[in-house]
Amino acid sequence: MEKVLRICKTASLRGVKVNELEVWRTLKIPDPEASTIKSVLVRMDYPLTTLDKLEHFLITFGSEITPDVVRDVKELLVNKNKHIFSSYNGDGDPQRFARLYGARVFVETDIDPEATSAVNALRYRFGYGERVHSVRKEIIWGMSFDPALNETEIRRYVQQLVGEPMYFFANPNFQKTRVEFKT
Amino acid sequence: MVYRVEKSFEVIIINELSIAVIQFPGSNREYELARAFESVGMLSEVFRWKRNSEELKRFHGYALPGGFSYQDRNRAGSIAVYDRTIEVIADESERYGKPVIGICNGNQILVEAGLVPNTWKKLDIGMAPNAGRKDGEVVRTGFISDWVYVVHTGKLGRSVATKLFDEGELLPIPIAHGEGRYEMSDATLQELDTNGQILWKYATADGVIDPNYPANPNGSKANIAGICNKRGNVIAFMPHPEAANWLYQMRESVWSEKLEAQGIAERMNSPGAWRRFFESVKLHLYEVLK
Repeated sequence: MEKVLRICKTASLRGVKVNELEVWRTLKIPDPEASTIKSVLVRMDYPLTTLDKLEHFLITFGSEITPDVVRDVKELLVNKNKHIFSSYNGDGDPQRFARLYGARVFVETDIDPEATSAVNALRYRFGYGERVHSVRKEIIWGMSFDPALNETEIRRYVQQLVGEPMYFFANPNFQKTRVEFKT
Repeated sequence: MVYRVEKSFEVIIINELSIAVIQFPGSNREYELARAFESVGMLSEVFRWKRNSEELKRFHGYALPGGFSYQDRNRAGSIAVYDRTIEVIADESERYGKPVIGICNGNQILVEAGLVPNTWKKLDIGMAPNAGRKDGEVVRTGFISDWVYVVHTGKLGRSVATKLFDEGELLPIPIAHGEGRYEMSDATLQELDTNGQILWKYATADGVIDPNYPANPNGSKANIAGICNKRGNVIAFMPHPEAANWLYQMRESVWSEKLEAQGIAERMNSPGAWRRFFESVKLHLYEVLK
């Protein structure tokens, strides 16, 4: 996972601007949520070989991101005892991240409690006030499949998981998903 | 007492009305819920998710307790849906009309399974993370454990668990959840309303259905706290009636009867505000089976 995060560091997903900061975070230990989900999916005969969970935060400020902001955001979002992380605000190569997994599912919750708390903490506890515009959080499920599968089959499996009727990774009533495949 | 079950259930002899309280890994209210059913003279059994699910067919009803099934991984209730246990319960409730009561995490499982509002595995509703609002602005997120008020908005006898509640009745009840915000499209809300499937709504202590926090503690759409399926035999309810089933469980500040009973042990063991919830289920089964 450290390699994944190193690549994330130079792989902005959305062309980060000078007033934006991205933080990527994952657990040092194997993620128990990913393990549970993988075993459920394997039990349902999905030919998954890897399922990783990453959390991605995009913090938008009203002014340029300074080193102080980066330090405070890390202090807020990252516990060094349990997380490995990387942060980013500069140019990158989005394709590097795209090549890591067969498919990636991005899930965003309409009102994410952690993102809401992060906005409040940055505004009032760290004292940045209204300079903090927003904090968005996405969960990224990185999936790799049996190498014997071709691209069409992978797409079919992932669409089954994300779309109707399973909506496995996100409930469409309050979560948004997008899927990216290896290019 | 021996009852012969005829058309609606499989033909078997029943000694007592029995409820299976399903225990998933991470459930933590199963024994309270089982005791609540026992308090109205029913048999209840905590049924572990790993048992042969075919054994579930001998029960007259099912209850999904509160807690954190599968540690709420992915999202609350979404993993338990893929257990064979839930498939059997769905089949039994559909085929024989057996009652299914989902409390808190059980509510989340039933929503994720699509058993409420009606269609198996069709996600018309989502149980989103709490987001209490005041004048449209989010003022409270995260886990909430508190006493709130709910008003009974269902018609008299609309569901198996509300037979003994009056229309418009206002009652205090504890809640304890982090993902209890009902979210759905306006069309689904309209359909629920038209079919009378909205059983309980969060309200102020005066019974006003106020969309603002703290009356609506989790920001639920239309203040919804509990719903049923079209048939009325599957109930999804976020608050905890099993935690207000005896007088000693009630909070003095919301239930004056408890204050009056202080120091009198026998009275403390008398029914709390929500005993009727469980009595309703029992009454329903008697009516169906006699």
